[in-house]
This record gives sequence, C-alpha cells and structure tokens, in this order.
Amino acid sequence: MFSDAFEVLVYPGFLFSLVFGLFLVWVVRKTVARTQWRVGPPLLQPLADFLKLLQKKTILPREVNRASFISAPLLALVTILVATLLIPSPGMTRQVLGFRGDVVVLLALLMGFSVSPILAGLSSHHPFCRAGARRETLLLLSYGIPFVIAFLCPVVGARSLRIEDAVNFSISRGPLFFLPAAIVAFFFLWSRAGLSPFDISEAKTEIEVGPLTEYSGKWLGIFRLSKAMAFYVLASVLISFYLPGPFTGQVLIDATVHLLKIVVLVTVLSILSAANPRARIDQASRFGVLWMSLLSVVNLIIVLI
Amino acid sequence: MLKRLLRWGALRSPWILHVNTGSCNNCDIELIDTLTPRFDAERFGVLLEGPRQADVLAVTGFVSRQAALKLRELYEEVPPPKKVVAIGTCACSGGIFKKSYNFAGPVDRIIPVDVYVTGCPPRPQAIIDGLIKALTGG
Repeated sequence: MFSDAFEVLVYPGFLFSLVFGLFLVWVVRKTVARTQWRVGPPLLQPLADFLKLLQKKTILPREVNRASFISAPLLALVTILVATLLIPSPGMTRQVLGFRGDVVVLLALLMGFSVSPILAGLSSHHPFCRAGARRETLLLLSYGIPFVIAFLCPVVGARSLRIEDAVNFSISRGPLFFLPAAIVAFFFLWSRAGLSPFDISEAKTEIEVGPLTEYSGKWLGIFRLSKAMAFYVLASVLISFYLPGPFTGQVLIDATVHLLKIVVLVTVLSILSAANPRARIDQASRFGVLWMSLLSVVNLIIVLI
Repeated sequence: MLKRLLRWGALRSPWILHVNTGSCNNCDIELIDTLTPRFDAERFGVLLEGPRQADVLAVTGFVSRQAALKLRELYEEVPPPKKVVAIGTCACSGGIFKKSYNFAGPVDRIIPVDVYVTGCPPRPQAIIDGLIKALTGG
C-alpha cells in the first residue's frame, strides 16, 4: 500500500516527472543559450519562474468565458498527471498503472493535453488568443494525426491493447524497425514543446504568447508546469516505444540510461531548434501533412507486413 | 522555509515588458542589447513577455500625450506585484523634450517609478543592474 502511494506520488509518478520536466526545460534553455554563445539561465530558473508565477495576482478578465478559461489549465495539468502513471517507468516495460486498453487511454490523455491550449485561446475574444488558437489547431491536426498512426505501430505489431506488450514488441524488433515512427514522434514532441520553427502559435514577436495572452499568475504557472511535464512524458514515450535502450537487467542502470537518452534527445532537439527560424504556419502544416503522414503510414505498412 | 523559497523565486525571475512611450529608439536598442550574447540578461532570468505575464515594466523615452493614456492602461494590465524601471534620461526627467509641445511628463508623472536608469542611452550593464535592483530593492 505504502509503496503504491510512493510510486504514484514520488517515483516514477508525479514528483519525479515534475522535477525532471523542469530540468528538461532548463536543458532546452541552456542549450539554446550556449548555441547562441550566451551563458544561459541557472539550473533552478524554471522552478524560480514557477514559484514567482504562484505569487503573482491572477487576473480573470471580464470578457472571457470563465468556464473554459479556468478549465483549460486544469485540463492540461490533470491529463498530464494521469499520463505520467501510464507511461512505462524509466528503464522498465512496466507502468505504475497498467491495464488492458491503456494504449487508448494514454493516447486520449495526450490528445486531451494537446487540446488544452486551443481551449485556452478560444476562451477569450482577444485577437492574439484567437490567432494563436487557430494556429495551434492547425499544428495539432498536421502533427497529431501522424503521431496517432505512429503511436499505433507497435500496438498493431504486438496485437494487444496493453502498452507493456507494445514495448516488449518494440524491444524484440530492435531500434531501427521503428525509426520512421520515431521521427514522427520526435516532430510531434517538437511541435508540442513550441520550440522554433514550431513556435508559431506562441510567436513572441507577432502575437505575444498566442493562446495564453490573457493568462497570468497561477493559471499561467500551471500551464507552464504541465507543459514541462508533458515534455518529459512525450520524450519518455518516444524512447520506450521506439528506441528502447540496451537493457542490463539492473533497474537502476537501465533507468539512468533511459533518462540519459531523454536528455540527449532533448539536447539534439534544442540545437536543431536554435538553428532554425520560425516557420510560417502553412509551411509547417504542409510539412507535417505530407512527410509525417507518409513516414507514419510507411512504418505502419512495414509492421503489418 | 517555504516563505524563503517563495521569496527566492520572486527575486530571480524578472520578466520584463518593454514599453516605448516616445523614445528616439536609442534606449530600445540598448535594452534589446541586454539579451544579446555579450550581456545575456537571461543569466538572471530576464525574459521579454507580454503585459499579463510581466513583472517589470521597462519604459523608454519621454511620455508623449498620446502614449500617456496607453502607458497607464498597460500599467494596470500588469498583475501586481509589479515594478517600473524608467530607462534613459528622457524617461527619468524629460531630457531634451522637456519643452516639447506634446510632452506629457517624465514617466513618474504618469505612473509610479521604482528605479531610474539615467544615460543617453544607458549602457546595457546599467539597464540589467536596474532591472535586478527593481526586484531586490537595493
């Protein structure tokens, strides 16, 4: 009983994914800064940002739809908290909460999280929010649907609706088998993280913070926190689904290898992002619809054969 | 303990909102310079954000009559606790625009100012110093 509570609340559940998510945000900011020959923020900067946002006065604008304005950050937080329990624990194929059909639940949670900024943007009449929500919707459609197909590749291969079976299938086939799907998932992670060239919906110099323009104080803090956790969750899903590492049998070593792979992945992502300017929404969308769909469908066909 | 942690967070994350109320663009260039590799204000957690997210208003330039209303509006949009930094001689005192026909006053005649950074333009180091001092209060 006690160990169950520990698994849910501390490791590998809520607290761990929160801390590691904030760490990944720092990795991104530091890597981007080093790429631009800057020093970059200190290690605890994301934590300081979050703590500060908690203390700011939260403004609830009169003109917004209150129900969706408040439910959007809560939706993001709740979906991602539950998703941390459904992803395979670092270095293992087992989850904290595994059951038959958890593939569908995890997919629904990830999509529910992705919808939350759109909900936030549509809750207000602010033109920046509206423009941001529209762009976010397009991005989600062009990268989310290929991701769903890519996500289903190991599931179809394993012929089971359990995540554990899908991961085991992926391990049995080796890392190169799911490379196209891994690329699709990588781009999905990239577009969800809102790093350039996919910072279209939060384009700083055009539309302030996009869908989150009206958000302040603790609601904004919750949004940023759940985004950090989603970063960890998506990267972890990518690694354990498509690029499961060499397993030694020692849980501690395997978990370390898994987390190191996530850090390497995120570092590569931030270097690529620092090297690219912001894309236009139609360019990004076309790229996703064309190439990502192609890659994911190709991988699905390979699995089916 | 928790109180100290919260205070630590509040001091280390100044997100700034850049407001140009009639500046000649000189101070603006220096303000943007603080984000470049040479000065890198992100070392101290400084980010440029929108009005709802910001903690520090960085106002450059003397306040023209047209900008005065907007400045007050922006000041009210920023959620408290908030600080105002007046950057440049014009923002602090009016500078050479003091006798101008559309001069509505230096920044502190429109909204309360916490830190004055003088200079025409002030150096980026001075601006970073002012932004940090606005939070720490000294």
